[in-house]
Amino acid sequence: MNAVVVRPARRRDAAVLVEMMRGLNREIRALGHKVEDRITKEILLADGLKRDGWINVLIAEIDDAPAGYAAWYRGYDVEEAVRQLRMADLYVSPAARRRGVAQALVAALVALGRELGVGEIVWNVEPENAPALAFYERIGACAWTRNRIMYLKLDEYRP
Amino acid sequence: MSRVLVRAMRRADVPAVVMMMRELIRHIQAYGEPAPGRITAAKVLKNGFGRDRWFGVLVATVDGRPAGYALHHRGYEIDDAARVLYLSDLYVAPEARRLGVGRALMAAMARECRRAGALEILWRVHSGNRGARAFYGSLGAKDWRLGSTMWWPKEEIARAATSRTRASKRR
Repeated sequence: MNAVVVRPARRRDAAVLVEMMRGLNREIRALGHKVEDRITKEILLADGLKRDGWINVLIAEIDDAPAGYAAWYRGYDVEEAVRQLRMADLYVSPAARRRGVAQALVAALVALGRELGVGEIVWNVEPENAPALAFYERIGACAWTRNRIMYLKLDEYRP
Repeated sequence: MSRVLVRAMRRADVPAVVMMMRELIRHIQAYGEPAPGRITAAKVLKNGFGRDRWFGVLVATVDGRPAGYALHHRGYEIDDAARVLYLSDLYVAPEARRLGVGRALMAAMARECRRAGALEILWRVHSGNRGARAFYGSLGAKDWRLGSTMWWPKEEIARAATSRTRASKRR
């Protein structure tokens, strides 16, 4: 079966995640932005992939091969008075595109958010990233256009 | 002489902190209609204390009375491989302005940053808010890649963390 499986990343996924994070940086550079490859396996293991870590990751796999990831941490929205998940990265490997990986990652993040009593997910997107914007709008996200920050109220999530 | 002190929020501070949060919400523009009543003491008690807290609050007092607060939570910048603190709210009560409360809160944020093991502090400020931008600039903060986000480089944080909070000579 070629189903997409999403699960919390484990410590032994660190090297694979770093490769995908570098893949994301390549795409960011292709959009014309400067970014350095600072994250390493050692840093990721020190800062995340553990309880009470600074960064948490969901990994998507197809037939046990890595296909993408979503990195997140917790926040709070005082105005809305709700718990927030902040999505730091959402990435699908080029070879795994158009197979529902991004949808599966977001669905898993929404489900996790609901378990944690979260009210909204917040993230940034480059305004030139048209495919990303189209995807986010389809799932019910809105833009704070002034700040290029997007948010998805979990009640408005369209799977 | 007014004595400005900053400390971690205690349960007894929560009603005063909620009042200040609502004041801040009334003054800022949000998506949708600002609804200051959404934040409650129950939510602050549930989310602002303990090992698993979703945010932390520093409370500034002037002569023992709550006069301002800073709300923060942990974050991560994958590009920089950096543990960060997000400063979500920084508020000084109108009657307590020009006493050094804002500066005292930022110095306490700098110490909190070190205590938490974070490298940088990030926060958002409206590009039109000249007073706030001047204040943050005077602390050595800079504009970050995203238009309205500022960040505080670690050398400046180190400097602020070791500065002593002095009682204001005004009033």
